[in-house]
Amino acid sequence: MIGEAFAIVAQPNVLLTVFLAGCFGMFVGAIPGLTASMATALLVPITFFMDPVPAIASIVAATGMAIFAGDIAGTLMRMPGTPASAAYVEDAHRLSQAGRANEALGACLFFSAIGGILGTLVLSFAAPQLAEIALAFSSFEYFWLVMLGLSSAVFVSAGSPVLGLVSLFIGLTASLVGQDNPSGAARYTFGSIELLAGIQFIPAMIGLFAVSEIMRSYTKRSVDAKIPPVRGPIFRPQFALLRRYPKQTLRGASVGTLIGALPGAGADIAAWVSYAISKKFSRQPEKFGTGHVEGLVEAGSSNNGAVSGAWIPALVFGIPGDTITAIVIGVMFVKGLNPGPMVFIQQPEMIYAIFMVFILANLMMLPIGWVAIHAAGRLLSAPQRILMPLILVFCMVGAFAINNSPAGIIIMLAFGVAGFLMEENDIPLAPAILGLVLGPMIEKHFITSMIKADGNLLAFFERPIAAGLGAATLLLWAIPLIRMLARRRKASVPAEES
Amino acid sequence: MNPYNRTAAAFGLALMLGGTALAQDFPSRPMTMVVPWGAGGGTDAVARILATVMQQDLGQPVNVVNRTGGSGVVGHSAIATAEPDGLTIGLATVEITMMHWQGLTDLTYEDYDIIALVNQDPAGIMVSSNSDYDSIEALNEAIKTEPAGTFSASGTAQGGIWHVALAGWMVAQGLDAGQVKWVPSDGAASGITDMVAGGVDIVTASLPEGQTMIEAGRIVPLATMGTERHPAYPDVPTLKEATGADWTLAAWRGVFAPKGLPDDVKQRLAEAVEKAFNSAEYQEFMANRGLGAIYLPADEAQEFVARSDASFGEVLKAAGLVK
Amino acid sequence: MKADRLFLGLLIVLVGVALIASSFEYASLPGQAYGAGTMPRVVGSFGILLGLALLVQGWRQGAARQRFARADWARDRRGLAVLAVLLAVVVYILAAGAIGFIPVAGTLLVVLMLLGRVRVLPAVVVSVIASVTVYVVFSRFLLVPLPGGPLESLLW
Repeated sequence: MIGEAFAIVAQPNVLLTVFLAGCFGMFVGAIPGLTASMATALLVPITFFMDPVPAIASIVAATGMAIFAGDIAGTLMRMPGTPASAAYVEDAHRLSQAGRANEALGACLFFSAIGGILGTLVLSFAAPQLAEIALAFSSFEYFWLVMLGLSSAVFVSAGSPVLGLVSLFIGLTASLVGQDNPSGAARYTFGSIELLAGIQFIPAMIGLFAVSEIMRSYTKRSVDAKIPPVRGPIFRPQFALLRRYPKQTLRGASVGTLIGALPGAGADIAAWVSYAISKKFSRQPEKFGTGHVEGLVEAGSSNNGAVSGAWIPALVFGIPGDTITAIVIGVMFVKGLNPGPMVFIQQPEMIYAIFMVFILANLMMLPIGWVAIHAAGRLLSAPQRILMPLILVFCMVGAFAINNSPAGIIIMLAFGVAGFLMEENDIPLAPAILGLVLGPMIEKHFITSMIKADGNLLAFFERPIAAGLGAATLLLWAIPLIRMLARRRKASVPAEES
Repeated sequence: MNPYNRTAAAFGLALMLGGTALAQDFPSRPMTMVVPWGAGGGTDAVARILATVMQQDLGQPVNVVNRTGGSGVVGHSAIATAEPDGLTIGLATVEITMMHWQGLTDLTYEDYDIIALVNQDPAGIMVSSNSDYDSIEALNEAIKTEPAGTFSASGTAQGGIWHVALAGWMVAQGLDAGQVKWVPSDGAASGITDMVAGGVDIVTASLPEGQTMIEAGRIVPLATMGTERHPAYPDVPTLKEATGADWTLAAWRGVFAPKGLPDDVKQRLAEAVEKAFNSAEYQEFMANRGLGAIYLPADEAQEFVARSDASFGEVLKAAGLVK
Repeated sequence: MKADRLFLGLLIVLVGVALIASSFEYASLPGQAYGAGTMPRVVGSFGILLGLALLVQGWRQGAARQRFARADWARDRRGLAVLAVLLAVVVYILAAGAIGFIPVAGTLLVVLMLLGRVRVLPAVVVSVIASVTVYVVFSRFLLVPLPGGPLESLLW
């Protein structure tokens, strides 16, 4: 069976497809303003004319590469490509400012590949068992999981915690807009049809990070500013990092795969939770957010572990874990390869072929990524006065392509201004994106839980997994409060004595 | 109103005054098929298969464009407000007969020239395999006798098509539309997972949407709300034959064009759509995915859509979902 | 462009109050105490608490708190350049549908590059090549329906 699977994968056209799709994903992902979701959506019409395995292979390869490539612009220009990479963009960017771009980008690439491969191994051996866990999650469990993700973001944001909360508030407020809430009421749309869809996070993210960065570049006095090209070895420092942080790598990949396997939670929550875990258990938590590579290692492997994990419910039960697997499930149906338990029994060689493609795509990521780091590094080190207008055009194309509508560009513009003003006032940007992404999830799971429980709040603790997750979230909030009170007590004792 | 439409309309007018294209060489330029839902979904797949076959017949590329958002309002508006030259058509869905009742838009099916319907999927009734009820008769009896709100159902958003299916089922038996609580979800898949996780009791999505979980033995189909049994599930009774509740509901997809299409262009498009519908590619895909390949030509489609529009209005009113 | 901390706190309190006030427009789900108004009320309450915390913090810091400050770039032509970036996007949104991607994006690129003191010839050359390439790659190969405008027929 493995042999058959190998024969399906080891064909020149499959290998070529993976390579070309990988390059395509790398190209789209590396351009600031264009995103991984866009790369996937653009591939769908093309996969329509392919055989099943190359079709899926091309999407897997392109997505994985695009997610990593988003880190290039994130590291060099602080324009992250996905909400997940916003978790560690600050550390990566500061490393690159300190002349260690090679190390930061290498870590993103290397640990993404490791996370992806570990995730795929878990997928190959334990997919049916993990899918069972996913089936135990109802809205009560999801509510706590999302709360956990949101809380992590608040506690890890660098700088003033109050300003981090301000950013979160901005994101949550924006997430209220639109009709995609459990009751289906058109909220804060002011009669606009386009706003019925709500504020989508991709144009908002392009605005907050990329457009605000473009605006900021025009505030600088020296017009000859350039990003230094990436110098030094990419992979060599990674082996040392792997030796120094083996536990972090494994923990990141496992947490990522687990959270990724829960449909609807996905890589965004995984990366943030992993970054928070890393900081929590680190020996140097104070270094996080200042250009420290440890969080990059853990959140990076978690990010790609989650991308693999999302395939567990998708392949076993045909349940999409995120937008990307939703698209691929659609493609699988078109190709007559209906996901579900039957495909494991009737066409196991296909499933193994898909697993092999995952491993292949993650391995191929290393050389293509190496080339991309150098190529993009060189291109992005063009004079900023030429580069920035070009990036603005890509931002507009990327924001437009999400719905093929100019409304995306308007959202991008609004968030560009907001992001610029936030930065001016030292308000961090990342929590706003997380608020925008997770706000609707919290609302959905809270309201549907309340409908089921007829308004009984205790229902959030009645199911065992929900109770566990709820306790963890409450503990996360309680610990800093207790510590703060303890510190006050200590500080006030000598005052009383004197 | 989106700025492109307005300017595009103004510009289209200028082009028309410049010289009207002759219908015999239709289509003279690449065509666009607007899909009001996202890439990778069921509607998207149906549109892409149709477009692929149609472009061989029409001799010009038919580009599928996803205009998502606003529960389909955005895409449906884009179809209605396009230039009525046949170069922009769209794959409209059943939501066009529901959105105007809910006050989301003023658009109705009357704002389009209907070319044909190409698909119908009746609603189904599914329960978890752990459920206490293994037949529609037993479930229906329990719903009637237990107090309102004992049972909960899911499968789509509040006021979505499968919610209407549930409300219609209740109303048809003289029960309150809210006898079974509706728990909104993102779609059939998340409603089904929630049911398996013990969150809700019933899912009223179409049976093909539950196909993988039915095969996995996690959920059991109890009934279909179609006029006859579903070919893929011949043992599953219709709601009417099992319980006597006179209620049928099917979601549908159809090729719609902006109103005011020249007759010869409409004729040509109808030919192309019918040919694509009868193609092996289309039939095979629909069978594979469990989608109902049912063709209704323009006049029958018009009548069918009008009828379902009116019946949805009644049910939505009874369920308190009309704004 | 720094805002006074007290102003920021007040602004957030006001947004929070507005959210709560407007939330009563949205009816609850039939037979439920919760509905479309719940989340705005939760977010609004969070905003009010957060705004008050900022006010208290600013008050305690007294004169040392962050005050309104005009950034140095806002005083010279760099301020205009920042506005030009925003204006460029607005112009694109309004004009691209009618005139087409290539002329509008091309013009914006030239203007923004000139504002960054790029010499005229390289600015024009780069802009023309970039706008045509982006249009061809995305609309022809990747099927993103970028607006073609009247020039579209020339490209076929």
